[in-house]
Amino acid sequence: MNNIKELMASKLPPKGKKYLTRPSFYFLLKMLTAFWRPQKDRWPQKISFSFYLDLLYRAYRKKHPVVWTNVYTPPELIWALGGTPFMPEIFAAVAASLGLAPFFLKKAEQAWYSSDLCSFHRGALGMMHSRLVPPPDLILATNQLCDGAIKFLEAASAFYRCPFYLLHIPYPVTSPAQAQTWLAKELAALVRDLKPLLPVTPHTINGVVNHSNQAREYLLAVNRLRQQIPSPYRGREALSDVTMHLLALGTTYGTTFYHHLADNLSERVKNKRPVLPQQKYRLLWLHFRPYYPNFLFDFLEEHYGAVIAFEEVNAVTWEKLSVADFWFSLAAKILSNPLWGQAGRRAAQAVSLARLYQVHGVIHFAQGGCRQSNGGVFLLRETLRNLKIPFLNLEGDCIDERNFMAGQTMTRLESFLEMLEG
Amino acid sequence: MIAAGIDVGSNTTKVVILKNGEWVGDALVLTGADNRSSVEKALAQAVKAAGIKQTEITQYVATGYGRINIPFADRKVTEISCHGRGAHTVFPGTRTVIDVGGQDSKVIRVDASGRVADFIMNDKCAAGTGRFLEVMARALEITLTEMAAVAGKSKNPVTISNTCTVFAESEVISYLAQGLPKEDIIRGLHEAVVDRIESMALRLGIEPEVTMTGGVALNTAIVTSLSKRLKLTILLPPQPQLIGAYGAALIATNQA
Repeated sequence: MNNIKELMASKLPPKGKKYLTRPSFYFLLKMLTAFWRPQKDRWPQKISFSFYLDLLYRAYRKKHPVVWTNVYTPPELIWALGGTPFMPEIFAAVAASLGLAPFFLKKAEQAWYSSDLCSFHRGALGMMHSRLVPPPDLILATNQLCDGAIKFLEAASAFYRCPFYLLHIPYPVTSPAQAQTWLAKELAALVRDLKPLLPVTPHTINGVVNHSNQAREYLLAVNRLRQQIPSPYRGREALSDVTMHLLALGTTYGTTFYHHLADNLSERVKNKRPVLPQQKYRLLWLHFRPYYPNFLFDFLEEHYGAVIAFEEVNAVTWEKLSVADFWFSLAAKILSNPLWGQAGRRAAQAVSLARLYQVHGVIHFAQGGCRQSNGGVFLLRETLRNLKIPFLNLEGDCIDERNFMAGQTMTRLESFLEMLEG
Repeated sequence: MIAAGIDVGSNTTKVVILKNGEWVGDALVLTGADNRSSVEKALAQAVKAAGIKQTEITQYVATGYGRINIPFADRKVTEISCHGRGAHTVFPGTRTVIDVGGQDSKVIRVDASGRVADFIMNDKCAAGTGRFLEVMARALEITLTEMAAVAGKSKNPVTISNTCTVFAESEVISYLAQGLPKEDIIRGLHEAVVDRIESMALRLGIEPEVTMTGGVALNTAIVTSLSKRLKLTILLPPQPQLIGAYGAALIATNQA
């Protein structure tokens, strides 16, 4: 108990913490960002940056209840309820990109979280124990995709003494239609339970649905443009953009971000400005990427002319949301995720993306401790191998740079590319 | 045309020199802390053995973990491709190469032309590599060359249950404290290494003929045990630890 108290009273990191947890800090940054006039190519980055500042401003301002949830909970659900969605796993990736993850990971390990736990969750827990994330008013966990997420969000609920809700998502195995009906009822029941905290209105649903559907159209356009050879967009950037897709859909930020991105890519294709004019190899990336500074993608481009042409996490797998039948369409969106359910679904998607994007090989980034992804590697490999699509299972860590073995990772990647070279 | 293959491994640096595709000289030195000076030393020895001048070498290909640290190399190629190429050239029927070096172990599938078709490498752990045996030899106060012979005398090998090298060393010390015969402990250690290699080989899938390369291939106890487990004959090149450098030299020759 003393340990928990000590951790809760933690003052780390000492400098800057009081500013980082004030809404005025983010408001000021938002104002300053308004004066930022990047080149047209960088405009989506400005929107993404502004979105995060606005999200943190909203979350610290506390005008709208802050709802902590896990990645792959559709953000439209929480935006429609009038809440502010906050996905700590995404902020663990942000911390990693700033080189801060080791500090937070150590903090989590000091609080008895095993180093075997997925580093997305450990990083998020470390941020929580450091009190450097906006505290939740309630927690809405889903069992999609991983069990570890429920456990870490349950720990957060105990830490902040806030209510915990769990949305149970069925595996769409035998009867997808039945699963959808069942999930739509679950969603409606959840919304009823949440009503005292998050009163949903038809007006907000309408806005969220419109924004989500518009963003979906733009994202589809982006994905179509990315089929061009040579590639007009870097997979490494797209693997960062995925956070917009995970968190900003249903907002004006999501719509404008993908609108600008689609325009940019269209212009790059029209003006023949690929990311790598001498592109030799196109690769499909499965799972997320290492978010801490690393050389992998530069190395692939510079030494082998290899680009990540597409990533499974950016695929649009869902149909438009419906205002008239919001919960039912949201249930369909949730269940359409090929990463959820049997591994065969994911393997089938990998094959279809490999063909659509005309890739030379597929890399699965095997995040340490990620059972939902690594558990299906055999099936993935066999499915791709049977179709003679080269496959590399690249073991590593998205967040914990202490687990990044530069030499070994490079040898695996280089060997894979040498294999493609023949 | 004279080409050199340089393999900078974690333990040793190897150089093979080919003249018009013929193996004319080689050298093997300890890598130590300074990669560049070990490369210079190995090159000087190999050049002397080949009876040529270093200036006559027109192509260099570097491989091994230290390949990035050889600025004069014309090309840098991974040890996976080099061992595949080298083993396939020595035994053209080779379809699977098992390379166990100081810090890495790999199983490589090659096609009929010696190109890498698939591969698998050990994870971050040192178990199943030469380093594991080195650490254990030190704990047992025995040389690496003596290990294989001593393991052959074992009647009742112990089970080493830890895959972590540090914990396995503690396990060895605990067996010694229990008074168990050294040969049984050493044989147990060999079986632990073979376990790891066998597991990787079966994971990737074995296609005969199988050739073993790398320094650990010099350990007959490991080769015999692995051969029994996989139920096939393992081919051994005359100098298995030089096969990576040989493959690099072959690649250098072909690209000239």
